[in-house]
Amino acid sequence: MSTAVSPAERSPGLVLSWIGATDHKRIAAHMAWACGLFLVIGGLVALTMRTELAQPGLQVLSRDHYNELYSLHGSTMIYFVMTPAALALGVYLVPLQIGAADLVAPRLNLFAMWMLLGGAAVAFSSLLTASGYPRDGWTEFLPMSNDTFSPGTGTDLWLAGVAASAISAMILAGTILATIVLRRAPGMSMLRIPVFTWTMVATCLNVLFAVPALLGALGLIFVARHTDIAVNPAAYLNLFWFYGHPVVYVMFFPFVGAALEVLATNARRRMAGYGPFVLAIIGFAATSMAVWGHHMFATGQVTNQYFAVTSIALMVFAGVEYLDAFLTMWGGAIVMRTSTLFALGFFAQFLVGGLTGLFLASPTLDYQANDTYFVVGHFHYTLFAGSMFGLFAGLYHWFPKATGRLLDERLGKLHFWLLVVGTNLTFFPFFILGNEGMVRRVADYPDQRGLADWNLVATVGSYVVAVALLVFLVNVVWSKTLGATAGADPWQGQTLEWWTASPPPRHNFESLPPIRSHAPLLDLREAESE
Amino acid sequence: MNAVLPLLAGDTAHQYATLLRPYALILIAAFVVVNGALLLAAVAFRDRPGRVLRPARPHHRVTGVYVGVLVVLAAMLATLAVRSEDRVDAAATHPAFTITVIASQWRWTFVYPDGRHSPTLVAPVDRDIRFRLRSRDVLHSMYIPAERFKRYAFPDRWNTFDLQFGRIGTFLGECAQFCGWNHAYMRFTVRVLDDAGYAAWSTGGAL
Repeated sequence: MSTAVSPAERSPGLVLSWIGATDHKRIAAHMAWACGLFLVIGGLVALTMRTELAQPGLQVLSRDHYNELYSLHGSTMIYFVMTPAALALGVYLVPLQIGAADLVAPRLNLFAMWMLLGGAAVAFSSLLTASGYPRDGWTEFLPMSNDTFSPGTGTDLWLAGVAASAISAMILAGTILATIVLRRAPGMSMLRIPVFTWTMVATCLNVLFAVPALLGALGLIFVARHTDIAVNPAAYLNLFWFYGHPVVYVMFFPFVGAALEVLATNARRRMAGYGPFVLAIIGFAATSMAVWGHHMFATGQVTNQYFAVTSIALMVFAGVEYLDAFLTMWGGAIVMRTSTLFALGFFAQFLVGGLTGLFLASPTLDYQANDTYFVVGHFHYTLFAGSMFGLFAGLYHWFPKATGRLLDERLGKLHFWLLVVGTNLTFFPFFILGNEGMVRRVADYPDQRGLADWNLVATVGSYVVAVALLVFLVNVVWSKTLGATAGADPWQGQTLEWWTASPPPRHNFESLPPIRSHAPLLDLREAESE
Repeated sequence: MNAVLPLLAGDTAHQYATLLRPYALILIAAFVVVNGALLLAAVAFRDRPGRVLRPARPHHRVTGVYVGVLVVLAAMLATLAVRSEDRVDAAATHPAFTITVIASQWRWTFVYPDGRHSPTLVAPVDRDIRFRLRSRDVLHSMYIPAERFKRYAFPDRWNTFDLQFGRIGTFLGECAQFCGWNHAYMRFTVRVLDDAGYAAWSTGGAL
């Protein structure tokens, strides 16, 4: 009699699910697959560039193709991999962490996902036009990107695609933030939301304040291309970096949150310093809106000293996060899982990015480092050696929740160590190259001062990174179908997502425990053991 | 082949080296202390049989002292940075002369007070020289690695700065800001001469 499946339980099938599923978990999973695909594209492009740069001279690419590829790499990684991956993590986890059934405005979230996928498709489609992908990096400074210097439809398609990704990010940031404000479970005050959710508050605020400036900047390029109005290039620089700096924290905050939750769970105790952390992350987000000028020290068009002081001040907020990571581990009993290793790798390697950032925050040192490989090394240490490691910590930690299966630990540890070796081999030489005067965005460099040797080291490293990422891909594909069953709570988790089944049911929770802190499941275990 | 970039020991390179020393010291120390502490905690408190789990406490005093130390460090670094910027960007009171630099896709033109044009930057050693820099098309950035200095060239405004070249010799100049197809090869040569050599050059003699 009861063989009929209720509409809520009926599987819609893969195609319909991509088109129409409004469940935040499906949307996040679809975004994750898309970001993974874009990561592969952006990564293969990077490998091609590193192959060209292995030796001085032009071997693999023409200078025109190199210019096309470095632009493709940067645009793909910023607009279509790291920003949406950071938001997708929030789309998946925030409702589960605060005991909500879904994000607010589910149809709007579906729309945002399609704005992202459609935007990516439109931006990539410029490769098919006669003019090709635009050749001015992810920054598209004016007047380089106007119709005189970048003729053809390629740049226009890029503009439309990036604008769509920006609108997508703003929608998701709005719905995640609204969900945190409106949909918290009974008992969960704002000072009881999990650490990762706090980092999403900061992330969403940064998106909502900074991304409109990107839309404005894209609008200026449009005006410069399609009207006779002359656009002031310095105004574009200000508008672009008013977006461009806060967005690097969009690609950083969620991974701090992920790494800290991983450390606390695997150290089997409460995260230390919740209050200071909340103050620090909000202070970090606020201050990050006032530092954009340090990208423009060498332009002679900003008050360098003001931006030097605000940029250096960021170290106080970042420092609090490091103290909390340390205090959380000190006195704990840390289980050395793959996720722990990635969380530690995140903090250890991001530090290199953070400390070299202090060099760039000082005008005198930046006059040397600006637009050289020193800067390229700096932001790859923050975005790859840092955020990417934090993302992997989160993936090893939450993959079992999303799929019901554990990722393989042996493959995971192989993945980790290969990635550590590859990452540092690739990106550490960049600091030396920059110090020796190698400028960025070049297919060739002078054969002197050891530039060739360090470039070769970096290229070898990039192939090790590729192997490491391949190991991860194998792990995901294998574990998704054949991995060990996870159960609801494989790690003795502390937050609400570990209270429900893995994967969680459509509406996330059948019941909720009492919530008296930011770690309600830990409270329950502590109450039991007393 | 030179393994290390030769510094010109001019004003900007000197300021760079002076500021780099305390920065590098503080930052290397911070790297060692912070990552050392994280590694120590991870190793000393890894899960082992018999490990007694201590509940986490709020460490208000530790946090307060630590934030205080960070604020003092940040204030030190900011003071050093601001003072250094004051010196490196100070306008010379009596520049010897002015060189006008025109950047365009993909070459550099250096215009001297007597109207002479040159694709090579020729300058006398140890003199304050004023530069007026402008682009004819897109953004460029005039970069002399050995001088540890660069400035953007805008198409719609002049950028003015002073440089001093502290050593006689030939040095590399580059465009640092991406400017299109041939950006990688938009290089120039800097020739620093003694006063007699410069006088000979500027009166039309051969180099």
